[in-house]
Amino acid sequence: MPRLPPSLLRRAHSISPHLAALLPVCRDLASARHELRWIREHVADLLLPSRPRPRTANDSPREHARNALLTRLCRRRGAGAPLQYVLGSQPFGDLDIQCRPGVLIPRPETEAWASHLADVIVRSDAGVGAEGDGLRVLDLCLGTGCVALLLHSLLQRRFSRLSVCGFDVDGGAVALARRNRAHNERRGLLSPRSPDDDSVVFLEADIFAPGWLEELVRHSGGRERGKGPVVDVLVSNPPYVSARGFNQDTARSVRNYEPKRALVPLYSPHWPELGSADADDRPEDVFYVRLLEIFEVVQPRFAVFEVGDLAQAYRVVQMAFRRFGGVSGSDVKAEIWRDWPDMRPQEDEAESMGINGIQVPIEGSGNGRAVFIRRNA
Amino acid sequence: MPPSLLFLLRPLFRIQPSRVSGVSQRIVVATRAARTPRPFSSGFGLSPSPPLLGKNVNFPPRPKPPPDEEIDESFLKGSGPGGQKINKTNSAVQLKHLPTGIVIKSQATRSRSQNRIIARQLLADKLDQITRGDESRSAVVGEVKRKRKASSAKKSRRKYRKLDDEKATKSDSQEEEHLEEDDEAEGLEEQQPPDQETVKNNRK
Repeated sequence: MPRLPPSLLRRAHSISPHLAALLPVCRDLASARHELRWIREHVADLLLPSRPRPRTANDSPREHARNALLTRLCRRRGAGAPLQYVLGSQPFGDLDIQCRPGVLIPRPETEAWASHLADVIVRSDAGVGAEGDGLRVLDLCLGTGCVALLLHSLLQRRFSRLSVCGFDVDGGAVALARRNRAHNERRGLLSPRSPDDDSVVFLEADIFAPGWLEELVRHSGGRERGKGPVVDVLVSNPPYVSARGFNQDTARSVRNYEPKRALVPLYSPHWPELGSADADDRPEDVFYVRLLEIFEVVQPRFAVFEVGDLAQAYRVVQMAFRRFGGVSGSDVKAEIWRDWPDMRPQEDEAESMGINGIQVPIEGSGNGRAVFIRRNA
Repeated sequence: MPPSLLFLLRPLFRIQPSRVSGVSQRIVVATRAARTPRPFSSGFGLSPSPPLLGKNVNFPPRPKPPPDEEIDESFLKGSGPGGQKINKTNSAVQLKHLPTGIVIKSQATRSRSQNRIIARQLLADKLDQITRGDESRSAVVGEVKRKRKASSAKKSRRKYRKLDDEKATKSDSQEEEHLEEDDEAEGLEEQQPPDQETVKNNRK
């Protein structure tokens, strides 16, 4: 990283020492100003007097505490900690998602595909039950629970019998996801439910563990009802970064502060054998091998898996075609979504790609970000 | 319809308050709440309470953003891998309105989706200003705000002038009264709630 010119640092310092503290990580005055504004707003929210009172001589300790907190937060951010950990939250669609060290911070790209998926579902004739108002969503690798909760908030009007189930291998993430549900219900962003209501269930589990999938199917009563689908929507934002990519491409604040386990697949003895069925399987693709196994059993109508780039998207679609028979006219259709799936593609961005002889559409603009699989019922 | 004629609709709204959208109702309630703490307003039960639906109903509707086909949207995205590998806080949204070439940028919040909505509203306001000029919503709202501010400044001036005059002579107060009535006549909106009259009478 190039050194910041001392003149810039001096200029920032003359405006505010907080601005100078933020500069090493923000790199330019404009973004440092924005971050300082957000940190100030956060401090003002935290230290809001319980009721308005006239200014008194007692205000100076309060002012002092405010300044001390502001200084501390700006220093922490300036040292490289992600803004979302410093402020403890990140907006995600209409939701306010709480963030804690140890759990991956929600990304705007994830927000974009999750909202796009909700649009696709609402526009389709999806839905089970006599009135077609039931929908079951399964989110694997929950993290903060942002995808599960955003889908819940965007779909709760259309589907009155909506159930959302999520799993994460990390107990801390599951606890945070549950807290995020309660937090957004309190703020009126999610419709509140009674405590014994099981429409949103977040549980700790290793999705590779033997018996987990069978347990899930048994619990949902799928087997008793015959061969019907177990869920309608399957989503996942699994770890997909390669060990090499982690060392070379990740931003410093990601590498030093976010949990590596959420980024790079951590070896587990339950992993499927790589390289046996799919010759060019890579360790960073291992979650997709498992997710497609799960897809085959739970038979969702829609599935979205986040991926790292177009090349990984290509490999995942290839795996899916190999598993479900990639012939035209098959009941499984795949699409690749870019970072911003509802934006017009740039001139140099391809709008489709031939995979195993099938033209797979590529939607939107940006890097390859998600694989969308639709199964015709 | 020019804004000055919109007062004709007011009786209609009074009869059917449910026809007014929730937003304007909330604004009206807020204005009422702001009024009540005034001195003397509750001490004299003679005056009727101010009308429930006041001037805010008269604002032109919020302009609608142009269709997405006319907008070229860009996020100030850096070149890079994106997704899990990076964690940017830049949520800026830039809109270009293709027919007019107007460019709007917003980084008001940390949420990109919020900024998209805000930028579209800013663009709609700007286009409204260009096409309708003085009759656009922002111009009307600005005008009302300006009037309200001018009026309160005038009232405050008047109050202190009156206090000064009262100190000097008592006979001058009659003349002041006339001045006050003239002022009210030029007010476009109901600047003075009826209970203000009570206050005045009391002072006579």
